[in-house]
Amino acid sequence: MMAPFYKFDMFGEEFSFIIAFIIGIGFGFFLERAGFGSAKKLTSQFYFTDMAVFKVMFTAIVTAMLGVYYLSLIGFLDYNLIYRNETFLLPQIVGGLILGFGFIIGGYCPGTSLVAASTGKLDGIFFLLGVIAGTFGLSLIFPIIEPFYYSTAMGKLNLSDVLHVPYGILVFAVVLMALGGFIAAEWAEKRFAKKTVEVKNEKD
Amino acid sequence: MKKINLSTNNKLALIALILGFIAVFFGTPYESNKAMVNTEELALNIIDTNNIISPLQLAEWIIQGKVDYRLIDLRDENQYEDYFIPGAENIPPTKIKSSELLRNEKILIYSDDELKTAQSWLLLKTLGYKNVYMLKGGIENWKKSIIFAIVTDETKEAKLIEISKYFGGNPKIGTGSEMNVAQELPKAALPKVQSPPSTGGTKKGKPKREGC
Repeated sequence: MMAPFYKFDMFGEEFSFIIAFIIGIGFGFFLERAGFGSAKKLTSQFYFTDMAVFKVMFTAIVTAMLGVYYLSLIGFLDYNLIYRNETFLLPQIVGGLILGFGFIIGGYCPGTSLVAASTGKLDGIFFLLGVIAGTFGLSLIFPIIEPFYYSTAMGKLNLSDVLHVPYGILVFAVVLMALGGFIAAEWAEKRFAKKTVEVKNEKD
Repeated sequence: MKKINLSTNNKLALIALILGFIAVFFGTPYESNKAMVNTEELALNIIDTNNIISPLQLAEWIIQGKVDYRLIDLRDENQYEDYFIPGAENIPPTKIKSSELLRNEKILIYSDDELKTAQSWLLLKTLGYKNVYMLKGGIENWKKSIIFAIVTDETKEAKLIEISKYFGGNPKIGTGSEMNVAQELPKAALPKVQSPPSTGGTKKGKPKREGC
């Protein structure tokens, strides 16, 4: 076992910031190259005309999952040391819905708004100001919503713990789910893209 | 034979499918009961006395508000509820493996039995915990040297009296011969301790936010 490197004391906190910076820049770069600096591209997934966001995110999930699984299997990575968010079911559902609304209305999610802002997109910059204002607002009302914020706590949960399915089978199931999702996404893209073209033509 | 043309995406999808399928046969890599030990390192650790912490040292850590370590009470739940050192979490040896202790955390263990503590120390080391410390003399020594401390010279050992009182203790002034009297004090005389805030990582501050 030697990974995660930071948790095994391969380097200190200062150096971990440098690494985080490099990875962060890389993440932003690839988001931008995937076209995620454009609100048009991002929101078109909600109209099923361009499912790139779904495909990129699910690809990332599957790649990371397979990587973590096989690196643990060969004894390189201690999976238990990877940071995982705890599950607070109800507040996270509500939070997810709010984020979803914000995504459709504003055209970005927090990460992609940074990408858009850093490429100089005005809407991205305004979105980012909104994020900051929203964060500030939340901190002001936090004492009121705190009981709800920490309600339905379920601790660190894995799909395999919840479903009582052996890990390997779950890995395979998620891969199948992703591939099925990709096929469905491409089908939807073709179908809905055609429709929008037809609608456009009718208008012309 | 008909040649099948696969796009890069198709090839990658195929690789994922194959890797996912193989995973079915390997099951879970995270719940193995086997472990590897570096015997050399372990032997050196046994010689090293730095992994033994005295009650006084621990008392000072607690008073200073140090939070860079986790204090673990290895006794069973009833004993723990009866009395525990402030800030201690109750994790019996059988629950160590499923606990949320992190491998790189500084862990200080104690029990009412030094052998049990030493065995648990070995278990923790085997499980890959890097910094495991033991409380010298366990909880009995804690009671004896902190809570019911015997002070021979009030002025010279004013600090110890202060520490003992901080933990709700009852330091006695006198010679060593009175030690037995102090030890025979009923358990009810032990200061009651408030449960530490629920475990589950709250100790490390607010949960981090991660997302897209």
